[in-house]
Amino acid sequence: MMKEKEIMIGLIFFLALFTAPFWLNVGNSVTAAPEVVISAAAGEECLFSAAEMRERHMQILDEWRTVSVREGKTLDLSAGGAHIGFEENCLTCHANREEFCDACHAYTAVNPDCWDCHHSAGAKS
Amino acid sequence: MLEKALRGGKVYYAWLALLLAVIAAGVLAWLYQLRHGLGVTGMTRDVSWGLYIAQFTFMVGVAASAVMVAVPYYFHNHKVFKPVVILGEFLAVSAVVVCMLFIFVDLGQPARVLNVLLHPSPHSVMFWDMCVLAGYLLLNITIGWTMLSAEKKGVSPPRWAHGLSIAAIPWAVSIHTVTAFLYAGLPGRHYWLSAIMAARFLASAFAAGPALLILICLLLRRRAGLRLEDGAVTSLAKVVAYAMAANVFFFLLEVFTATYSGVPAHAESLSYLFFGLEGLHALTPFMWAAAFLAFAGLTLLITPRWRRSLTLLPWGLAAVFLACWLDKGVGLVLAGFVPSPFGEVHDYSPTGIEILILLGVYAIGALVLTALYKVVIAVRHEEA
Amino acid sequence: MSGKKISRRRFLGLGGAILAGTALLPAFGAALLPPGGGGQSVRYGMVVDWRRLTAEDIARMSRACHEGHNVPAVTEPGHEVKWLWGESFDRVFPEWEAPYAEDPRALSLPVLCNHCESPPCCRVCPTEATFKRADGVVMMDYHRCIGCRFCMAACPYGARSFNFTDPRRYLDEIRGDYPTRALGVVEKCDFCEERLRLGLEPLCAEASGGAVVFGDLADPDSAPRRLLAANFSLRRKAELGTGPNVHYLWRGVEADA
Repeated sequence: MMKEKEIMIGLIFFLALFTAPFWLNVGNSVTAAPEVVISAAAGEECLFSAAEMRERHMQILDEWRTVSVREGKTLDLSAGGAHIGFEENCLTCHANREEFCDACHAYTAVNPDCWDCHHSAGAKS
Repeated sequence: MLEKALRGGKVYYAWLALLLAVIAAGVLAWLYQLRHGLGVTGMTRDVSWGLYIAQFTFMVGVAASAVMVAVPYYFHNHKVFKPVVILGEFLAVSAVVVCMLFIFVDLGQPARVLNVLLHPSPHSVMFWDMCVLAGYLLLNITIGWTMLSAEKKGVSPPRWAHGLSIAAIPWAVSIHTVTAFLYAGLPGRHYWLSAIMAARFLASAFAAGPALLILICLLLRRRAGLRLEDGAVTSLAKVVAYAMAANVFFFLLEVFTATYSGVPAHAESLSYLFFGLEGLHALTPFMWAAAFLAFAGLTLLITPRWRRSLTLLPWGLAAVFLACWLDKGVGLVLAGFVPSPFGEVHDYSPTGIEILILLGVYAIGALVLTALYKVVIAVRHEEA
Repeated sequence: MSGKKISRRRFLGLGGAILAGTALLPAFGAALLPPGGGGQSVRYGMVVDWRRLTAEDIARMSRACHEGHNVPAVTEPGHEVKWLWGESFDRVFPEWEAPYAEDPRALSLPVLCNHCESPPCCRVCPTEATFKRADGVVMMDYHRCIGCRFCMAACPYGARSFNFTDPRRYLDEIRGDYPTRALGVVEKCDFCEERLRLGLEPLCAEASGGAVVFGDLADPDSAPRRLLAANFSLRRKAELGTGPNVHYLWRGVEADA
């Protein structure tokens, strides 16, 4: 049929477009996952274990913001009654935003908008 | 069937290219707005909704007006409307697409638009508006497409499609009623706080929508070989005449209450629209143009001899359509913000970016409409 | 033929019923008001003894509020962001015409969110980004706001501001212990809920030199309630039924004497 040629051209174009990220990155070296640099003040304990934080910090923060803004709650009972507060509870110790937050976010290409408003983590990126 | 939209003559391709160019410009302008915020528009803290929301409001009316073809066809067995029913439904489809896009480009945080679904708020009229609009879009795509497929196969459409077509009629009324409720339930905005708002909205919709539909049909009959009897055109024009008369009547009711009672809150927005307030009168030329066009259009449409003349009719319809657009797509939303809660008067005028985005949205609607109508005409030519 | 007619009539009846149902749904919705409201034990409110305030006092209160909450000092006309500011009497109470008063424009009053009993802004918000707390504070959840500005159209007091531009650009100094806002969200006064948590009074009350009295209006013994019991007072556009919780003490010229 006459259409066969057109279909083939379309298919090739589609495949090229679809696989473009692979072709464009051929030859680029794979960067290793960044090490999280922890600059916590000595003696202070984190609310959750490092493994739990790594896995769930986005859910924890999301939940915190909801219960604190909308329900006015200030204590997180799952964290042993710790005061809810991203800035007070996390960023006072982990003040090295570039190494502690941005490095991984950049590596995983996520772009959280926390910093649009919560600026007190000091340095801008 | 959709592949039929890809084949056409030179003029057709040129039209598509033009639409795509306008869309591209609109998208670029929107990206600029996304980056710099709604401050690139003419909106302010005092006039906090502008042309986007005004166009949204107007186009909900165009979407709802498909009923004006469906009611005579389904309830009064007005067979001459048969070729127009699908066109009315597809006009509704593209109008709803335009409405949704206008809401979207008006958002300050468009990335969060799905919060409306994530946190449904039944106390908000906007939530209901979203529900009825989405439902109406689905209904019309399904009905239009099913009926067209049946037409292509030369069979009568399935019974469920008939049921849906009938369900779409009260649904169409609901979309514009709920849209009127966006405005009519706000305390302190006296130009909108009026029980007649929904009725006025429907009347102006049933004038402007069918007027647009006839104009498009006449164009397609001349340029694309759409088969359509004169009878369908003139009887739909009658609908426009009645609806426009009702629309003007409802508007005059507002004018009476405002002027005879003398209550300033009722009168101020209207005086601003027609005479300006505190030396500001950005909208007065538009409103006087609307008044003149409404009068001229009604005269042309009410006089039977002129309504039946296919040379004069398009002028009458265009006048009515423009009058409704100026009243609802410009005046109504903007004047509701005048005077402000502090009794101040603020003019609004759109920026170039805003107009580019507006044109882009309309071009997307026109593209959807073009593709759908192309399919309809191609299917009908094929079966002939 | 006649059978067809009856079914058409029945259909129209049914259609009418459906239509009426759709029309009434939002009204039912209004009854399903956002959480909070009924049965509350605390109702925060404010009494403004505005005759004691000069334009400079109000400017000081406004500064305290805006600096404390990182409210950007946007200069472009129409894009200003304001939580608390001064307006002349004839603008705050346009319905209280005083055509023969010496100069109602010379009198200045602080205006802010009224934290209404029945807030139209919360009613219209499609995401509950603005909502009324059990203690009466009309809150903003800046994480959830989609920036549709329906609340601005609904607020009869002009108390809401939209971030038309990037607010950070208009902050010379960012106060560390309070967030800023993002581009494209609506913001307003929240009665200093961050201070209420700590048992402190709002910044404007603190900066007013005693002319603004804040407290629990549900408690008949609270300071604002005692003031309201002993004096005549006004609320902005109370005829709209919004139930503003900011009261303006009415004291005539004799109060100055």
